[in-house]
Amino acid sequence: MIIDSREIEDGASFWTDVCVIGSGAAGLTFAKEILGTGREIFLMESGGHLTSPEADDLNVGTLEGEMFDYYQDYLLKERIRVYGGSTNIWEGVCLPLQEIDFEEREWMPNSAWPISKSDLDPYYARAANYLGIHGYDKSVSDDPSPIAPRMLPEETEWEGLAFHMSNQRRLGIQFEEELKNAENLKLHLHANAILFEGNENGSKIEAVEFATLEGRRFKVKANLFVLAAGGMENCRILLNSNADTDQNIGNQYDNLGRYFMDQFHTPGGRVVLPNPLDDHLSYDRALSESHGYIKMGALSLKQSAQRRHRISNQTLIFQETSKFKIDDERNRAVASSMPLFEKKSVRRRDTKTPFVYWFRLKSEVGATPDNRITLGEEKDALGVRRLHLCWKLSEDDRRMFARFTRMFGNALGEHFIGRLQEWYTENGKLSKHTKGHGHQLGGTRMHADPRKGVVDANCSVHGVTNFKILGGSVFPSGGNTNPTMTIMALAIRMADQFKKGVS
Amino acid sequence: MKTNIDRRTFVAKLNKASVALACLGMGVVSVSGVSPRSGGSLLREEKIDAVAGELYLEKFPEERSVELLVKKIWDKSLEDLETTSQEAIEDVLCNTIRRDFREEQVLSLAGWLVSRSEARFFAIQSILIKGI
Ligand SMILES: Cc1cc2nc3c(=O)[nH]c(=O)nc-3n(C[C@H](O)[C@H](O)[C@H](O)COP(=O)(O)OP(=O)(O)OC[C@H]3O[C@@H](n4cnc5c(N)ncnc54)[C@H](O)[C@@H]3O)c2cc1C
Repeated sequence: MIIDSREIEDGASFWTDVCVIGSGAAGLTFAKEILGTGREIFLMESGGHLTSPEADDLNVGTLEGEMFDYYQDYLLKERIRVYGGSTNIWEGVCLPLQEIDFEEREWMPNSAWPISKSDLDPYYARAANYLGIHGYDKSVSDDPSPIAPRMLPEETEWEGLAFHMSNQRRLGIQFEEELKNAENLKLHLHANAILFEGNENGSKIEAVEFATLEGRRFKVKANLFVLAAGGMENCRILLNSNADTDQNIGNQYDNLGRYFMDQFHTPGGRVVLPNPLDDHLSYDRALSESHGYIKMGALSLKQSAQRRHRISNQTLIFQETSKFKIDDERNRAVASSMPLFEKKSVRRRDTKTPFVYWFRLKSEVGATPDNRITLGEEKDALGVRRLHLCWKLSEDDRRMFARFTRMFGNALGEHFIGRLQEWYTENGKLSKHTKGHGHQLGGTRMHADPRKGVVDANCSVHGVTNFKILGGSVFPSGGNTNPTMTIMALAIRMADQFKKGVS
Repeated sequence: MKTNIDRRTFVAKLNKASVALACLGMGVVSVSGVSPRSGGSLLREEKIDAVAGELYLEKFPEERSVELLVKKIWDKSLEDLETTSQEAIEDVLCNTIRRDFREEQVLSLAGWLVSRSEARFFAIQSILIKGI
């Protein structure tokens, strides 16, 4: 059943078994997975079926850090308030995190997860089903895509990554019929969670208060609350719940809102190659032809090499050059005179033009406590203080981005594959094309030790018995892959745990 | 060029090396300005000869000497290089460039990452062009 919360009586109070806040990839997946338990579920969504300027305005906040110099729209463009959440605007690029992403790496601050990749593997496979990824399971023989895109020889430190392209991107639409028809689920639209109310000692959530833009308020009490309002709003709602009260939900050790990360995303440079890139290494082509089985290739350092070089997990994604013209005279001249050396092989092509591609860096950044979400002074239409985000790159982050590009350039040169022009340098100013990725991570980070994290290995808020969090905010470190598949895997895992508890 | 070697032969040899080493239609730095550039250049820019070499020499003006550059790349004098086989010239150049990248003996010319020896090779060509 779908309920328009704008029609709920002001001051009303409800009781349900499970209250899920947010209908993005995380909330939807969890709710769908537990439908079969027969427990009553409230799925509470701030937006409606369509976006509106009023709902969008709730996402307005303030930004701090060089990253945002050219990207003042970050808070508005990199998320959306509507049923289905960001899966309405995402690109559907999917890949599980790698083993190394879960490990403690000395060179990546605060990097360890309390679980390993193998804990999530079965759930990744189930997430792949929802996402319409054919051939995720390697035993599926009908996968027609040649995988493992390669540019450098196998014996080098480089490997191809094959990102899956989801062909079921609009999860809201995909799940809606089933959710609507389920007797035990009520999807509330236009319901904004504004405040969690804990019991006296903070060990239990008693209720969550919701507000509509029309000024009505109501409460939902539940046995279990699952907060899945997106990486940043998860933090903001909790910070707001604690502000001006004696409560300190999820924040006994001042970790709430801290360790924010997105993936660094910038034009990293350009390569000249004697041969065209394999189709699977071209982002543009993979995206335009994505039918669920087309993979998007990218290059990365092997995990062993990352450990050896103590470097963050990063990816190179190749695109056609047209966006960045070779316009500078000297630059053009050097590019033109760049011979590609190939020992003893004078294979001249008829065409006089070599192939030029630019590449993006998609890079993991370190998790540091000063990169954080806090509350600003100004309030939104619901009376909730607006979000303030501070995200700055550390010297180590910058050094590792530059190092990664340099290592790639060296490998191209050593193996006579091509030549590279560096755009991202350690000392250089950030390109105006630098972006975050819409991958908001950290803020309610996972850690076994309550002093170091907000949630435990099962995404339960430390010290609170009936409160769990889903979404990118629980990631202790980000890796170089897109997060949604992991977010969904965590949701399915949580649902399985819930089902076990119920039975 | 303060040397008695037959410059024409030397230039031809370098040209040959550059043609032999440049692959797949990439722009070739022309030493004589005549034929080796049959492959054309990246952007069909005509006046590009040895710009990379000039950039290198701007960074390292103390290396503006063919003799010195030859010594640094091939560890030979000009006279010795003159009597070295074409194949050996190419072999050493190739291996040195490979080693440079492996050992990070690289530098950035207008942002392009090149091996130090490769840049020196450009520089020789640049000097020779001017001298011709
Ligand atoms: C442009 C873009 C491209 C992307 N491309 C990719 C990609 O290719 N691959 C990938 O893996 N990831 C991608 N992402 C990221 C991906 O979309 C997110 O990781 C994922 O959708 C997050 O799911 P979520 O459920 O945690 O949060 P969201 O999708 O943000 O969902 C949260 C939901 O909660 C609702 N909500 C917010 N506040 C409240 C409140 N107070 N009360 C009630 N409800 C609330 C929101 O309206 C929203 O519906 C992209 C993101 C963007 C913006």
